[in-house]
Amino acid sequence: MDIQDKQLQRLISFTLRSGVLTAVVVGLLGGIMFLRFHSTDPVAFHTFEGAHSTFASPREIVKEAFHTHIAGEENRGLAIGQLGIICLLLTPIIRVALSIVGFAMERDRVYVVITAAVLATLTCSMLLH
Amino acid sequence: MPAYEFALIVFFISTTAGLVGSLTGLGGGVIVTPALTLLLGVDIRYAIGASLVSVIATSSGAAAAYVRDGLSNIRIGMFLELATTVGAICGALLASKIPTPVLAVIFGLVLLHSSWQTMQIRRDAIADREANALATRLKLGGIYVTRAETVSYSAGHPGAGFGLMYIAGLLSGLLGIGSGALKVIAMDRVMGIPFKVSTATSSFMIGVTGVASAAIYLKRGYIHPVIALPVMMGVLCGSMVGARLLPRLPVKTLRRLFAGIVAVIAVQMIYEGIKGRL
Repeated sequence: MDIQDKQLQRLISFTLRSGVLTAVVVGLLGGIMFLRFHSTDPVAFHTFEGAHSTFASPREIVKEAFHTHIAGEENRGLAIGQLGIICLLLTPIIRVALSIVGFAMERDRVYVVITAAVLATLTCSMLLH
Repeated sequence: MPAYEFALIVFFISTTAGLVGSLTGLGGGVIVTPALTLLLGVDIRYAIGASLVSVIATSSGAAAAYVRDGLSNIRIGMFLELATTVGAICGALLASKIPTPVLAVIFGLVLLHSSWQTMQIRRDAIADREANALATRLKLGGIYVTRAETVSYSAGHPGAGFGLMYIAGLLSGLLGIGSGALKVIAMDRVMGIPFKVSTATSSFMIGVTGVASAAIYLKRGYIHPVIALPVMMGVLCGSMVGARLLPRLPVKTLRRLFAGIVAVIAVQMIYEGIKGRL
């Protein structure tokens, strides 16, 4: 194991830790915002309706979390909470992307291809319905 | 139920699940789904979505430490992630086609197997394999350093390991679990990778595997913030406390005890599934 491998390890470790931390902080913020206004709203999850479409696409989530109008206040807390989850989901993807750079720096062509294939699979999963 | 009460109960249940999960080595996600469905009557699809999110969080947290210490083998992990991610996508696509009671029965069976697995006494794999050309070409080996020694290892049977990993990914995407038990079997038993490295590489892989199906879950509305957030926080808290407690507790006894409890939960899940109540 050479020096670059050690650097790659440290970089991946840092990415993973900061991703989880970001998810927790943003998620907590959203949760508190939601409970501030909606702590007594009735909730039930016995039947599956699917989360509201606002929470089902990253674009809608970001739009709702950062919107400027006040009328839709009810969804903002939850959208920010869901944004925390999106941060969590991005963490492994960033980890894979960074690994491609790491393997490229080591001139390990086989693993650049393997890692790129993993990233392509993940991209596919985001495009599927 | 008012939202704050629901969130608090879910948080408490998830903390317990995370604690039990880390003490048994099963992982918090596998226990959170039966807990939410059996105790709170939450639809299994919401439970699976929330559990997958918590699995990604805990495994990424654990992997951060393993990777830093050089225990996770990044190359082996990356090679096998080719199989787990494709499996996970197939599993997530399959999940919406399978009726929920059937899903519950499959879940119970997998849970039963994992709990049985943790009760087994583990023997170190014997490392006399003939060199495998593919494994050598893919550099599937490495060294790891413990306080006492530096161990060098190499992996065999990359094909069989790859195939098992596809199944691990499939189950992960189907049930929203990490499939850590099966991943460790594939690496430790089949490929002959040291147990420590197998465990560390398995948590390293779970995040990427999970994300492949989570993207599909998100689009289908399985990931609801009101459930997923308290589950993620709870399981993270529980497993962090568990990791702190682990060195101070009689692990073997505890592991047996909890594995027994998990087996009972698994049987109940199968029963409720057959009755069509989940």
